[in-house]
Amino acid sequence: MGDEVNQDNGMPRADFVTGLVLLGFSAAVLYFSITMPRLEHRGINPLSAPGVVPGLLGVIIGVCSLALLIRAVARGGYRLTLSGRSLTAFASSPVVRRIIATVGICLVYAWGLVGRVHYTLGTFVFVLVFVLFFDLVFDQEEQRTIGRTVWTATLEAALVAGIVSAVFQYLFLVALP
Amino acid sequence: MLTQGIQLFVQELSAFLTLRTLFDVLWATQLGMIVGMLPGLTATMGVALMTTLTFHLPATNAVLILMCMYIGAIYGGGRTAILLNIPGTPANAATAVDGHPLARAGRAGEAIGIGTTGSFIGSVIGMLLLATFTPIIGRFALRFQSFEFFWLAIFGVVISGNLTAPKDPLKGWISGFLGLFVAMIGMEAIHAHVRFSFGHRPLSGGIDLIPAMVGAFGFSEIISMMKHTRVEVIQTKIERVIPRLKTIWGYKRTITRSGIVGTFIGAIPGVGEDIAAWVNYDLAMRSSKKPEEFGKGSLEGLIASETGNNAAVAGAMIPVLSLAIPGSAPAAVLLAAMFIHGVRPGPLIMVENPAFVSSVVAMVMLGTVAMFVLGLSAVKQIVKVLLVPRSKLMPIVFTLCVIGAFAINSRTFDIGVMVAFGLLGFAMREMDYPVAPMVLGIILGEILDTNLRRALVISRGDLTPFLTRPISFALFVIVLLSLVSRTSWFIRGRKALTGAIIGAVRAMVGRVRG
Repeated sequence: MGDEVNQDNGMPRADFVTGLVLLGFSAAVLYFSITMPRLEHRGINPLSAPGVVPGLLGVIIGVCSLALLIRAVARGGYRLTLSGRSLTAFASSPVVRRIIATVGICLVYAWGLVGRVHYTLGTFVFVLVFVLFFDLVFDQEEQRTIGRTVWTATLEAALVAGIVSAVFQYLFLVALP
Repeated sequence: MLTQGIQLFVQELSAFLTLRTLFDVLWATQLGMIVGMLPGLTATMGVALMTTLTFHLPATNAVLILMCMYIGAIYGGGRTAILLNIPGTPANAATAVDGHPLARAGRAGEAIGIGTTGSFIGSVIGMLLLATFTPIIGRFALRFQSFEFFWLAIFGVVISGNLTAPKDPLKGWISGFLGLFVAMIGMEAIHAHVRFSFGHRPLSGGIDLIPAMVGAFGFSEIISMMKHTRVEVIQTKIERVIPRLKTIWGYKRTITRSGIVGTFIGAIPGVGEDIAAWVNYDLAMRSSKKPEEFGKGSLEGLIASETGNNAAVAGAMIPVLSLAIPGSAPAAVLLAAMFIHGVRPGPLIMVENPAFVSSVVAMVMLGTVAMFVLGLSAVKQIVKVLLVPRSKLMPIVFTLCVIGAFAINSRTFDIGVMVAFGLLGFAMREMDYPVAPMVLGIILGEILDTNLRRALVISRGDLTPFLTRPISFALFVIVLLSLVSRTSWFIRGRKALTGAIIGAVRAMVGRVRG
């Protein structure tokens, strides 16, 4: 997993950045746990205050991320080199482009369409765009099969949108988003 | 006690023997097999999505469908591993090592038959151990107090981190503790105080497990699948599928060992069928008379991994029922589904609802039989499912992830949770962080939170009972050993000590001979 994107064996660098982020996260958790109300006005035992366990977890995550950071530094992970060329090479990699396309289309559907347009219509558009994008743009169907691809994608999108909407609305009695 | 257990089992099994229930068993197992076969659809994802589709059903029917789906999916992944060299689920990775060379040698039918039989026997062994050990562990767990439950929660994430990230357990532990933190978000159970919501009303209800799991195992898997270019399906000829009894009998030791070891590995919190398959594969190779055949098409290797992973399914249900702690990621969804349906597993289940344990054993039995029958029939037809391209399948899966996350509470917030956990899960996979400990952490978070604070109040802030109570002390030692045993200085020290002992023994032997 991740072998294609991380072919440069950049794990110490990734660990270094993750270690820093996690360290900051654990400090924030600890801060919010300490400043969390201890509910003294309700006569509550301070040992059962709501911030006790999150505070402990903040400390543990902090210790683990510090270990991760120290290990990454020992392996040279602090040598972060970001250049325009490496960023361009990263962004133009087919794997990265496929990831961005998948995430982009899915996010537009989940956050942009669902709840804003009619569920069945939104789902139809999502399935149609997803199939056509990957079949025509990435996998580059031959010219003579494009018509068939569009036709089958439209049929699939209509079936999926119709069946999912009907099953959830009428069988499971869910008010569609 | 045994007679009473058998009576309960027969009673529960006969209650399931209706046409409607048997129909549910068949379609759920078959659907599970298809989900397992399709690379990108894992058992966890299948069970999580099915939970959202069955939440309107009565508890027993819903859990039965989920159980059959789970058994079918873990078995079905082996089919893809054998025919395509792509494990349908992570649990079948070890199956591909020997299954695919067998298929390439024109023995695909034989490999599928042996794998199916191994899965069947593994599941039966797991079922017997589930029936035996759940009541024993359940009764033992009645002695647990807050101190023990605290250590149990810590043990769960530590051991899960150790075993799901064997090369880098630190990342497994971080994942587990992050999961525990996620469970802290929202209203806490003791004083009803809202934590870490920052005024966001939906967040004050906490992060629901099902949308988080659908995202972490579903959406992240969709991204992982779509990042690769096309996978070509290799057309393999399938001949005789039903295995010869003589062949199976020849591997009786491997099958028995794999069944028992697989069940126990499945029962370890958060450690799933994939680890069970690999451990059994390794054990089979070490004890085999023909270790050189492993990796080149060994039937023994294939049967060890397939027996082990299906035995782990039943094994994973042991801590679910007796301690309310999942043995694997799909079992975590099953546990959540039980809570949704008002069934509360845990130490008290043997007191409050002993019939439910027998009911789950009966469900495993029905699922296992269905898997065996369906697994040996219509092999050639079912394999055609693999011809569906991912670009056509994945949008359907994502549509189900979205509506599934929404359906349980009818909150659009849960769709956001699903997406967020999908992106987080994908990032974690890319950086070699296992997702399973995080999910286990989300479940164990409440147990840790309430029990640590209760224990501190009971002991008036004194920490010694955490170490002086016998069960607590034993759990503490196990946690400590699990942590320390993975450090480099401990491994170096152990090697040095072993070397010194061997040196001393050799010197003594030399002196005696001299």
